[in-house]
Amino acid sequence: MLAELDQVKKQYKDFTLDCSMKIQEDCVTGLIGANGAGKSTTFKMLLGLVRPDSGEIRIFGKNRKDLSENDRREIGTVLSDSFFSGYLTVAQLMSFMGDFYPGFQKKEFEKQCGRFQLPVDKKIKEFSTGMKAKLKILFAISVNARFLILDEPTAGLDVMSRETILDLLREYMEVPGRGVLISSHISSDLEQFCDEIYMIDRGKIVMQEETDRILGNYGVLKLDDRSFASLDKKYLLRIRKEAFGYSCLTDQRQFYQENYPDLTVERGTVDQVLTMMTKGEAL
Amino acid sequence: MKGFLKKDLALLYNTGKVYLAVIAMGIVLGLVNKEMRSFSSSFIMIMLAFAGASTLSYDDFENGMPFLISLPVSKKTYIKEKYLICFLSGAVGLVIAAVLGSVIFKMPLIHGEEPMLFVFPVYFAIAEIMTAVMIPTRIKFGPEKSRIVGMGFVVAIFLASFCIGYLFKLFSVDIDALIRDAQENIPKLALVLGVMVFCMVIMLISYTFSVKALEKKEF
Repeated sequence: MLAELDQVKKQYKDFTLDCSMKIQEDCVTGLIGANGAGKSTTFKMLLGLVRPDSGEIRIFGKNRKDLSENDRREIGTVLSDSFFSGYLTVAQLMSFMGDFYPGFQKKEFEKQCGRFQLPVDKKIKEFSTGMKAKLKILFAISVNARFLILDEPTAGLDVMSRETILDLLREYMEVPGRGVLISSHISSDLEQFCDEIYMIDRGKIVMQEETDRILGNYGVLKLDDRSFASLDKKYLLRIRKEAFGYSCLTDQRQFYQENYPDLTVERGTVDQVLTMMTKGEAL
Repeated sequence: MKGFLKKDLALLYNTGKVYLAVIAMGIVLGLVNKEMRSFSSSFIMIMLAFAGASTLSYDDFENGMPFLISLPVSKKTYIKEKYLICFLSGAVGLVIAAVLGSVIFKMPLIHGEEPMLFVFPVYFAIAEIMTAVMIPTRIKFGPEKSRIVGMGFVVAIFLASFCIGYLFKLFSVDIDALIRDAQENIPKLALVLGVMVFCMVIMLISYTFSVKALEKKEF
């Protein structure tokens, strides 16, 4: 296992984080949730930027506090709202990144900058949002780390750039023993790229599931009050009252498709599952 | 530490043009008014020492600190590098002041009024003491609050000076005579060494505070 958060709690004035997560090797783990749900706080705990009040954080089998500098060199990071000073140029970053990460692949990084049209002699503060996002990801990938922690890495990127970045991350994952923990608001990115997804709401993990199962087995039933009353509810995870009747989340879509052929059953997407898990009621 | 040092040198290189103006101002000041030579030299040293401390502001720019702290270097190393860059930038100021003093201002080296060999190390020590106050204040209070805290320090120093002056007056102690006595009876070298030792003690206390403040801080 690459990393584990075991009953990690953090109390703020009006928010409590209480979560457990496991990030496996050879696996891309996604974390999705609304703004303020606790995604960034979870990432900051893993990076040692925030200390938990209780619980244990383990990375590479060691307690987070016991990680050496060599261990920390095995972690590549993208933070959504933080990077090197905008007064530096890419060329200057390249000149000292090797001092932080001996495995920094300067030539490969330079090649990717050319591919993504990132000017090396321009100050970072003059970059567009999309250019900054590409730069951060390229750096994280180029340090040749075992574990990437990416907080909203594709925010601000257009569709084509996101696809190219995801392709780079897929190439990164071809080396055995690596893993990625990624958070995003763009659920289609998580659906395409992640092997498993954690959903977080108000500081708590509300669901953990393999992406293939979400897309293959989960579904949302849309039915009126009468149909709801006669429905077999044993496979319903969440229900939500709507103007037309009820929306119901199930992880056994096929059961309802076979036994209730007249029922409207929509294929589950990450967005829908997240909405139902956070806004729906458990039965 | 090498990575942080290269980063800060790159930052100073990119943003350093303003310090050329500082040096130019110092030269003009010293040339226009001979009595300001010593002041302009101290001004250059202090401003260049502050240049090193200004890298803290650039690190904070657009919330850069969380990313820097997430790099595989300890918080202690980050702090050590800040003191080193302030020392180096202050030392550059000392060298520039020494060159200006000897070549342009024609200040005496050992004998005469305000000899460089005794006065410049004291100015350098004062510059480093000022950065030693600035760094932990900035680390503990962040960019916005540290400005208010800094103003508070200045007000506190003024008040303390006023109170000390008032007490001396109340007890009929002649401060000018005391200073004259000290200058005549204590060898200049001993005074300079005393100031340097005091500076090193302040730097050590400041470093300890800075490390503690950054270790405690959450991002």
